[in-house]
Amino acid sequence: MKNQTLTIYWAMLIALTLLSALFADSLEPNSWVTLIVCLTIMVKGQVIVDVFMGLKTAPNKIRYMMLAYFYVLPPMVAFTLIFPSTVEQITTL
Amino acid sequence: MPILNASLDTEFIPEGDPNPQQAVVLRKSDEPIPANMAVWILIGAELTEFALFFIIYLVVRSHNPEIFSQGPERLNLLAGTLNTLALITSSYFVARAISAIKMNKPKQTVKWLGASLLMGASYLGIKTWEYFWNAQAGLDSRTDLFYTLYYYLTFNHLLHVMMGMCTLAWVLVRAHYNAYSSTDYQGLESAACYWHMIDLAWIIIFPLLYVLR
Repeated sequence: MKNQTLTIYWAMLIALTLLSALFADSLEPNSWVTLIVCLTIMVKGQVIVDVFMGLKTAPNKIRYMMLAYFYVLPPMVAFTLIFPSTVEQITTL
Repeated sequence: MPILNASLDTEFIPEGDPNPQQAVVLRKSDEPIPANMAVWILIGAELTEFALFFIIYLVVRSHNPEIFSQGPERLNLLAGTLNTLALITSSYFVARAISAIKMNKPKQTVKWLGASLLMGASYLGIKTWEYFWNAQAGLDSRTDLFYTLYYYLTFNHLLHVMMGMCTLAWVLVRAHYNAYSSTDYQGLESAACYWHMIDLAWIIIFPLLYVLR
């Protein structure tokens, strides 16, 4: 990975973090904010896995294991925040 | 040697090769695993542990929506944001260290690893300030369920950061004594992957605790 590419992706990660902080500070919580924040988690995760860890050219088993984390958890977070009563029902013994 | 097109899992033959039958054919599955398998098992175990606590957080949150919607409002968002910036920058510095050793520049590698450790130390400083700030605001692990999980997740992550810093310090010393080269840097890459894993966990912790209300 070229150093310039690493720097560009670092700047992108910084921008996404500041965007999330701005959302937290200025916007009232709603479903769209939740979805956008969860999307930023997925993008940030993919960038770190593929670019910083250099797994883009690694065998798929390792790469998919890492990416799965960011394809599964953020949607779970979004679902719980948008439909808390459904999750409450599912998890009530 | 042709560069493998990472988006494909099929064989790759370089364009314009005068003799395609003798062309080097690479498959993605032929690429070596970065670092070593033991580190990936460790990373898998660590991420599973964090995932379990994220799921617990989500379940508890769904049963206590009021407590968890008010919790983030009382946290120090500035500290959380600065910590995220410190960890992302630290990960970037580690990636530069790996890039430098691949170009056989051990002095550059030492420099980038030192910068990364400095960012890790900044994280520890900011986290300490945040915990004091919380204490002054009357917040502790027994305030309510949100703060119990907040302290568990962040302190657990803090311990991982400290462990990762020890690992980075060890590879920095080894790099200083030229233990790594462009053909032999597996130990350095293992430490780097572990450090990136710590960053990955924080990437979920930050929005979960500080941003999403």
